[in-house]
This record gives sequence, structure tokens and C-alpha cells, in this order.
Amino acid sequence: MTSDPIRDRVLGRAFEGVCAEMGSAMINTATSAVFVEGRDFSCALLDAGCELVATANYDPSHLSAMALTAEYALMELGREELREGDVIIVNDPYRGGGHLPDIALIRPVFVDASLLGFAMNRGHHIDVGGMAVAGFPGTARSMFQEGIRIPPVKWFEGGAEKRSVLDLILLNVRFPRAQLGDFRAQLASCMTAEQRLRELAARHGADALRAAMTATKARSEALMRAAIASVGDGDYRFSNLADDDGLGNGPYLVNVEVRVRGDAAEIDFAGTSGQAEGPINSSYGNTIGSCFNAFLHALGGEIPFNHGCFRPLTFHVPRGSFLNPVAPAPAFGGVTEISITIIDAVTGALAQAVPDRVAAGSYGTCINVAGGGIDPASGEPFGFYFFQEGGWGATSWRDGWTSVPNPTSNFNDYPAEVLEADLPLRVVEVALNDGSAGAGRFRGGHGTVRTYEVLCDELEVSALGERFITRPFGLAGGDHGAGNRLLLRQAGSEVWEELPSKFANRVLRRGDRFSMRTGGGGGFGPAAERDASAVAADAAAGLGVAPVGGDAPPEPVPPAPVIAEPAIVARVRPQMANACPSCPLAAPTSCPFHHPFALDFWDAYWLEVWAARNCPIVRR
Amino acid sequence: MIVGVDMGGTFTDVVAFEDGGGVRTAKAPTTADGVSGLLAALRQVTEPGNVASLVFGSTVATNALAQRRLARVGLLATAGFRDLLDIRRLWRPRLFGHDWERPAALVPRHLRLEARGRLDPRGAEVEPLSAADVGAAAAAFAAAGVEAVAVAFLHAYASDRHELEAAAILRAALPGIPVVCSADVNPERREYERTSTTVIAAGLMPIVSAALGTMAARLRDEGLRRPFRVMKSNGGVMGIDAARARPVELVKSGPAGGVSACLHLATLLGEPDLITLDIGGTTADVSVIVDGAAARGSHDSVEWDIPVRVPVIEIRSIGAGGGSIVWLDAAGTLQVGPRSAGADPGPASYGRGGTEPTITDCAVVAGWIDPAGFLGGRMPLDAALAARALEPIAAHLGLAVPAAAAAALHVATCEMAALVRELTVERGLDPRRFALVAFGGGGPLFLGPLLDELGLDRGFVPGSAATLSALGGAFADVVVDEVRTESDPSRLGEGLAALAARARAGVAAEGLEATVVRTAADVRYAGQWHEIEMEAGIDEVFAAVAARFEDEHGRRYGHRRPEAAVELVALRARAVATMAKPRLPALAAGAAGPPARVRDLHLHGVGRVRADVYDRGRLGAGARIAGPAVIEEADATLIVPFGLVGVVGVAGEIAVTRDI
Repeated sequence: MTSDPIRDRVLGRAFEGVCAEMGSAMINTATSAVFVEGRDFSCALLDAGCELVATANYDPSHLSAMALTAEYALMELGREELREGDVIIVNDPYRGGGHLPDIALIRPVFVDASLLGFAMNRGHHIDVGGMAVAGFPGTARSMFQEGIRIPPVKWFEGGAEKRSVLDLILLNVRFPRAQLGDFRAQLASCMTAEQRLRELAARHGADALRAAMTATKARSEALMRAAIASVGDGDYRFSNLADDDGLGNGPYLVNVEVRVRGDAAEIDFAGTSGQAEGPINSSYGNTIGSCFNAFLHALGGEIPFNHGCFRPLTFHVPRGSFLNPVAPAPAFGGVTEISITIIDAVTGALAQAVPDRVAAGSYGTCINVAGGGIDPASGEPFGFYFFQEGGWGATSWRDGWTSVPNPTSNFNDYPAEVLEADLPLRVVEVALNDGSAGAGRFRGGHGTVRTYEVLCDELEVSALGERFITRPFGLAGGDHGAGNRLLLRQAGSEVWEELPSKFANRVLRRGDRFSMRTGGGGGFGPAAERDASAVAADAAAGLGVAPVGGDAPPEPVPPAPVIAEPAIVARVRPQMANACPSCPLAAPTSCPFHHPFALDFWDAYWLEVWAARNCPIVRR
Repeated sequence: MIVGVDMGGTFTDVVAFEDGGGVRTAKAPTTADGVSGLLAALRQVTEPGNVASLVFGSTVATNALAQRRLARVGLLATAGFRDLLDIRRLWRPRLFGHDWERPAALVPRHLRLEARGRLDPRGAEVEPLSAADVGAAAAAFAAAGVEAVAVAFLHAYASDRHELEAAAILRAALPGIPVVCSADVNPERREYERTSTTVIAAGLMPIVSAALGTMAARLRDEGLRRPFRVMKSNGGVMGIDAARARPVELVKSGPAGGVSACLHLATLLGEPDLITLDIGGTTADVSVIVDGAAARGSHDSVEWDIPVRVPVIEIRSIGAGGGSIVWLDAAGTLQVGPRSAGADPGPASYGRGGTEPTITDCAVVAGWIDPAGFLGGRMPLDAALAARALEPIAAHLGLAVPAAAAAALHVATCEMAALVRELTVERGLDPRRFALVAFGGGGPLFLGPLLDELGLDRGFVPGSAATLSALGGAFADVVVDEVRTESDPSRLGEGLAALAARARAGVAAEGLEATVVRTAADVRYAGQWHEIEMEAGIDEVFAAVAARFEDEHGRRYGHRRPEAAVELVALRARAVATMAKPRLPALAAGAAGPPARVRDLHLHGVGRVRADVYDRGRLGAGARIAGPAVIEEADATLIVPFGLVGVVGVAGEIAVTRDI
């Protein structure tokens, strides 16, 4: 195929269009507030090598986990097992995913019996079983308390639906009716992509599409390299704390060093706290996805995200740290909370090199409150999960954004009028959070307050929030923003009780009120240098800044001891030089032993299983 | 004489239909007051006293919003909710990067006050309205010197009782100050959109009222004997009293003209499904006409996340106009727009110092535009400057300069195709069922290439492509749209009847009688968030509507949901008074004859081809011109690529179809 930069350009744009059409198909037919208003899903196209080509990112937390999930699924199922008409379902965070509710669908797309690539989407399902209604068990000690783990399984095989597979999943979730609708929306989305890709192939030829996929990745790689080169060589360090793990342990330290050399960078998390007992561990895919997020925020908001972005970056994430935990450590909050801790840490490191391109710390939480009960109006079970906007950090040229979703998300709110029609809750207040913004020459954005009253007899709620103790950092002498808070006022009482950031299965009664209060962003520059007219405007609005100072945090949880290499690796590695040259699986996307970083996060048991099933060295 | 006017950013166009069947057009620079430019253009055609009907797209509301010149508004909200205007719907425009300014709230926080009192989603009272809170707010508004008050309470779509109570107190305390209630402006669920719309309505009311009043007085003084009408965002027209009462309906008044003209064209051509493409200096604007009706947007946005939720034709834009800059990104990839060279310095070929190549420059270099004939020869372009501006890009791509120009035009075409796909596919529509209408100065250039790119069978260039927006006013009907949230299916008929009566009354207020009244319901599967608008009769039961919905859902999205119930979300009514349409003069028949000249065209994927060039003014009805060819008129150039053929119609339009 001869190179044609204009055709590559035009097809690259078409791939993005296909992903956007996948998104439309989801939005038009989905049944969960989470999918539609929360936009908690992403769509992607991958090439035949399972490399990400184009995405429609509605929610950045899905970023690179999309790619790792598909790679893992293909390695585990076996490439030769793929059939036209297959649909694969997978959600396991220890298989490249982020957290259990993000369920991925993968459909291989064949053109003239030859594999062209994959259409894939991931969406956050309202429930995946486990100990908490609608998820977010803030005190889970194991992933088995977080819900059902799904390895790559085929819902459709060769075009035939295997209903038992979906039944197995739907029996293990609390809202099968609604979630069936969401699975259908995901399926419709994948079919849309397949149809569009086939149309494009019919018009341009499948080889032209393949060439354009390669060129599209090369383009993002070039843009990413140019962005990294603009930072300047250096070793940039920063550390950032996560409060606790919901079980009394903490704080947890994210320690990062970004080593920029020319147009490439290494990101090293050595010195990071060991894995947590509670649900704040971040899977490997989530950790590196969060790094990309920070880079794109600071350097390249316009770079189309695909596998090309991966190439200039390498990662060292210690195994057994809370950023690369060992199964079955719980990880529900890794995606929603710790991703932001990581983003802010990498941002803080980059701030030393490019202070005029980053923002101070954000409110730093999704502050998920999930719950459910029986709706007195219908007698049916209901479930919900709330997430909330807050204040962003200031930059060197303006105040931080007020009331904006955190950097790992993007979502619409749940309008009070819709919420009250859907759920037995009354929305008492939706307001700006006075005193939340960090002071500075430019102040942080303001957080918000959302208060709800329970209108049913019993409501079971769980919560998973962060940055209640450690506050959003300021930059260049700017002050901290205020932390986040959860409050409860029981019916008949006038006293507001402070709740911890993480808890599970708390039962609220009719008339109880709970309030979610997000913090503001950190300030930039000394507060004394703030422009007088800006000070006056803040006063007229009646919005103050957060109090300065706070207690020094306690010592963080120490790093984990180095974990021994799995026995299976020790067994296989010495023989690879002899055995692999003749092995049909000896490719980075077919074999975990050849993959550049699969061994960094694959579970030892499942590595053994894979080897026993596939590796000639072990089977011999 | 029937006169349509389009007040653009630079020129005011006038199209006048003489009683004898003639059409005259004129153009004058747009003036700050609007009316002086209008009169200057009109007087080139006729004296105001001869005008029987004058319709124009008014930019009063659009400009006031763009420049934030709204009246000083006080907002009265439900206790606990005054900050909605700051909190909004949250979604940020880009996932990554800090180079975005979040727009300021429409009303500063100290003018946002609250009153206790609460309704539930069905409109039942949970807590009575606090008259004391309303009274205190009225006193504070008076002290602050507000010029208009917006009242927006939770669940007011379900019952307006609290808003009416509050408005009575406020009106008594604030004589002469308009008080606007959300239940009246926009009785739909979702409090932020309704509050934002109500605040904008209140803020526009004094401004629009004064501006239209001044304009009416001036036109009357100049001899206009009939009251004029203005275009609404929904593609219809309304009289000046209606515009003063409902100024939010003017937010898309300007661009609605072009779509309105296309609606007429849809009837004239027997093409109920049209994609409209309007290319001007900075953007390419696309809208969709489905079954003879312009596709509606859920709302319009004043700025990011600041919505005006009124019935509005959905028009989406990308930066692919004549002045859009062609550039290479950091990876060396060819890009078009959204940055524009504007009118000054403008494209390189304007010779005003612009050095960056634009779409216009590419069109000159690729032979699509005759540089000597630009704007009818009034403003010759410098092809050498255009070529020089493109040289670095051509060198990087390893292409000859004309080939690079053709490549950039192809990239622009593909961006437009992506926009068309987005607009149709989001609605579950296959773009291939549509015909394409291209207008504006740049539209006809891209018609043929876009037909090829989208795989469409046919397209049209209307008779006066460059002044189509002015034409729209002359063809528009009086159209009143009403919508309200309703989730109780047993109230379908009763609700539709009430809404239809309200729409009829809106038409009657214009001194006209509704000739068509249509009613519809927004319907979805229980739990879904996306509705489909289904025709629904006043005498129908909901089950019948639900059954049709299930068919439509299956058709659009490929599946039905036997396990899910069907829900009613909202009711809609539209009343139309069909206006007498001026007749377009019939074009005399005539063959194409020999081409006026030939020139080389560069087309991406084809290369250089020799094309016959025709002057549009010399073509009679029935003239048939096979591609590759160029058909030129003063303000626009139609490219007919290989495989397509242009046929001139009796209304002066050119149909471009597959040459088979």
C-alpha cells in the first residue's frame, strides 16, 4: 500500500467519527443515568494488533485501560479463537481494566474474512453485585466484596448469542432490567462501528484502512513527542497524599519522578506506598491511564488519544504498591479517586518544568455516594450513584474553574427535577460552597454543596470519597483549597454529623438528610498579590476563600517490599531464547512473556493458567 | 411588494418580489442600528411605501447576548437553588487542557435571591410559598435597580401556582418592571435550562422591546405602511408584539432565514429530506430538513453551558469557510480551520497582507474560482499570492502547489461530511436518504465534492445562492410552537388539546388563523434518557402512540424492548398560518450552448482536468451540463465534478445528479 498522507488524514478523521457514532448509539438507547447524563463510558477502535487507533472519550478514566483490556482479552482467549460475529465481555481490573462496574464489550471486525480490528466500548454499570447497592463499598477488604469479576467471555460466538453468559452476569447484579438495556446499548454501539468500518473498507479498501490506522497512531506519536520535547530535559519529582483506605490505614503516598529526555519520558513511582487493605488501589491500567491524562492536560489537549501516545512514555510502577496491587486487593476507588491523586502528582512534577501550562490541585474526588432501597411509590427496588463537581486549581493566568467535573471525569449533573421524579429523595439544596476556594493571586474555583432528604423508610448508602484530610495544593505560593465533606443530619435532629470519606452499608431513614460538599481548587501565587477588583467581586458575591494552614499529615504508609517474580516467569524465561523463535505466539500482543509490561501486572495464577494452556515451554 | 431582508455581519441583503412577478435584489453595508442599512438597501429597489410585507432576520437579541448587553436582571429562585446559574450542567467542552475560560454567570450572585416554598414533580405543594421572602426579594430588587425580574421555581413545569403568586407580589412592588415566569417561558423539566432561558428572556425583554420599537418608528417615519415581521429561531415569523413578548425566540433569527428558504425549496422541488449547507467567510453551517420540517435542536447555547431552551432549528458549524486557514500541525498533518483570516487581512489572494493560505486561496489555486471574476469582477484576486502562501505546505506534502490546494479542499469537504454525518446519525437517520442544498458564497463550490464524499445521489444550488437567507423571510410562515413536560399518559389528549389551543391563540394574536395544527409527543422506553418525537393526535390513546414508537425505535436503533414500558415525556403543538408565497419567476427554456471558456480544475484524487466554464446567467431552463464543468455567477461558483451532471430548473435552481 503506497503512502497517501491525505487519505490517511481523512480516514483518521473518519475513525474518530466512527467512535462518535458509537457514542451516539449508546446515548440514544441506554437506560442508566450513569451512561447518559454521567457519560461514564468510552468508545474506541483498535487495529488488528489490538492497538488503540481512535477513541471517543466521554470519560477520561477509561483511557488506556481500554487498550490494555483488549490486549489482555486477546492473549487470554487466543487470537486464533476469534470468529466473525463474536462479542467479548470483560471487566476484571486485574486484566487491564479499572474497576468492576466498568464493563467492556469487544467486537472483532472482519472484512472479507480477514480481521481488520476491534470495536470496543466500556460503560459504568449501575451495579455489579458485591456488598453495596450500586457499588462503592468504601470498606471492602477484597475485590470479591466489590462484585462479580468477569474474565474475557464470549456473549456472542460466531454471531450466535450465548444467553447463558449474559444470564450469569445479570443474575449477579441488582438491576438486571435496566442493565440489560445498557448491555443492548453497548452492543448497538459495537454493531454501528462494524457497519461503518465495512462501509469505509468497501469504499477505500481494507488495506487503505490498515495503512491509515498505522498513520493515525504515528501522528499522535509525533504530536506526543513534540509535546514532551517542549518540556525540556530534567528529573521532576512530586508527591501527593491520598487520605486513607476506609479501614483506618493511611495516608497513602504517591511518589513520582518524571524523567524527561528529549522527546520521551519515564515515569517512575518508586517510593509509593504499599497496596491498601481497603478499596483505593489503582490497577496498573488505571495508573498509567492517569499519567496520560496528566500529560494531555498539561501539554497536549488536542492530541488524538491512541496507541501512538503510549510509545514515548515508559512506566515503572512497583508491583505491590497501591498503584499496581496484587489480586484480589479491592480497587473500586482507584478509578474514581486515586486516578486524581496520580494526575495531580504528575501535574505537580510537570509544574516544575512548565508552570505556565498547569493548574494547582483540584478538589480531587468523585465523592461517590451510592445507595438504594425500595421505592414506596412503585414497590420496586431502586439504586443510584452520585458523583459531584467541585473547584479546580488556579493557573498562572486565571482563577480556577468553579463547579466543574474533576480531571478524571466529565459528566452532566443529575437535574433535581429529574432526580426527584426518579428516586424517593428530595433535593434540598444545590449551591456554591462558600469558603472552599484556595486563596492566591488567582484563587481556586469554588466547590459545591448538594443536600438530599430521604423520602423512603430505609435507604442503604455507601460512600467512596477522597481529599477530606489532605487538601488540594496551591502552586507558586498559592494556598490550599478546602477539603471535601460528607454530612448527615438525622430526622428530628438539628445536628450535622461529619461522615468519613469511605463507608459502606449505612442505613438512613425517612427524613434524614445527607449533604455532599466538595472543596475548591488550590490558588496560584501569593494571595496578597490578588487584584483589588477581583477581591471586591468575590466580596460582592459573598464567597470567601478557604482557611489557610492545617495540621501536618501523619507519616504515610511505607512502600511495599519488592515482590518476588512469579515462579512461572522464573521457569519460562531461561528457555525463551531457544523455544520462542519457532513459537507462533511469540509476539508482544500474543504472549504475556513477550509483552512489554504484561508481567508487571498479570496475576501469577492466571499467568500459570495461560502458560499451561498456551506456552510450548510449559506444555512440553 | 414582498421584501425579505438578511442582515449579515458585513452586508444587508434585500430581495424584493414585485407584484408583476419580477425579483430584485440589493445590498448595502450593515449599520450598527440595522435599520439605516436596511433602508439604504431597500431604497435601491423601491420606496418603503410600496412594501406590502417586510420580513427580516433580526440580530438584536443575538448581538445583545453575544456582547452580554442584557438588562439588569434579578432572579428569584426556590430556596437553596439560586446558584444554579453558576453550577450549570457541568460538562466541560474539552476533556483536556486548561485553555478554556468558563463564562461568567448571567446574573451576579447578589442579584440572585431565594424564596421558600416547594412543589413536587407532579405540581403538588410540599411547602407553601413564603410571601415574606418574595416581598423581601422585591425590596432588594428595587434597591438594586433591576430592570427585569425572572422567577424560576423548581417543578414550575408541573404547576405555575407558586410562580404566579410570586409574580403578583413582585409586579405590585415593582411597577413598570417586567416579571417573567419560567412556567410561561419554558414549561419543561430540568431546572437549569428553564432558569437560564427565563433569565435570558427577562434580560432581553427591555432591550428587544426598545430596539424593535425604535426600528418600527423609524420605518414608519420613512413611509413603511405595514408592520414588519421578524424571523423566529424555529424558522417561522412573528410580528413585533410577539417578538417583544417572547424575545428569546429571536436568538437564531438571522440564520433561520436560510433554512426557511430551504424549507420552501423542499416543497418546490418535492424533496422533503434535505441537508442544507451554507458556507460563508468563516464557517460552514449545516442543518437538516426531515419530512419537510427543519430538525429541531433541544436548545440553543448562548455560550458554553448557558442554554436558551426554545424551539430552534438546529444549525451546526465548523470552521471551514472561505477565510478558514489551511495549516500543518506539529505532526505535519494538513488541517483546515477553525482559525480564520477574517475579512482583514483576509485570504492571501486578497492582497491585503495575509500570508497564511485559506480555503479561498486553495480554490483560486486549484482553479475552482476564477480570480478575475471574484464578486463579479469587482474584487479581482491575486492567484500568485495564493500560490506563494501554499508553497510551504505543498513542499511538506511533496505535492505540486495546485495538488496541495486540491488536497486541502478535499480535507475541508471531509470535515463537512463528518458534520453532516454527526447531525444525521445522532438522530438515527441515514444521510444517504437526503438531498443536499448548498448556498452562501462558498456552498456551491463544495456541493459536488460533498455529494461524492457522502454518497448522495443529488444536490441543488438554489436560484440565488448568495442571497438565499434574505429570500427566506419572504417565504416563511407564521409558526407558533408550544411544548410542555407531561409524564401522565392519561392526560395525553387533554394536554395536547390545551397546548394546541395555546398555539392557535399565538397565531390569532398575529391577526391570522392557523391553517395547520400539528400535535406530537416525546416518547421513550422507561429508563431511557433520549426521546423520539412521535406525531400524536388529540383523539388518540397513548397505547397507539406507544406502538408507533416501538416501530420507530426498531427502525432507528435496530431493536425493540419487549420487557420495557413506554413512557410519555413531553407534549408538543405547532400552529401554522401559511402565508401567501411570492412566485419565483419562471426561467425561460434554453440549451446550455457552448461553454463561455475553459479552464483547468484540480480535483483531489483525479488530478488536473480541463473543464468547460459556463455563465449561469446565460443558461436557460433545461440546460444540461456534464462534469467536469464550472458554472459561474457573480457571487458563487458551482463545481460539477466527473460523473455528475448539472441541470437548470425552471425556478433557476441547478440540480446536480449522478450522470447515468
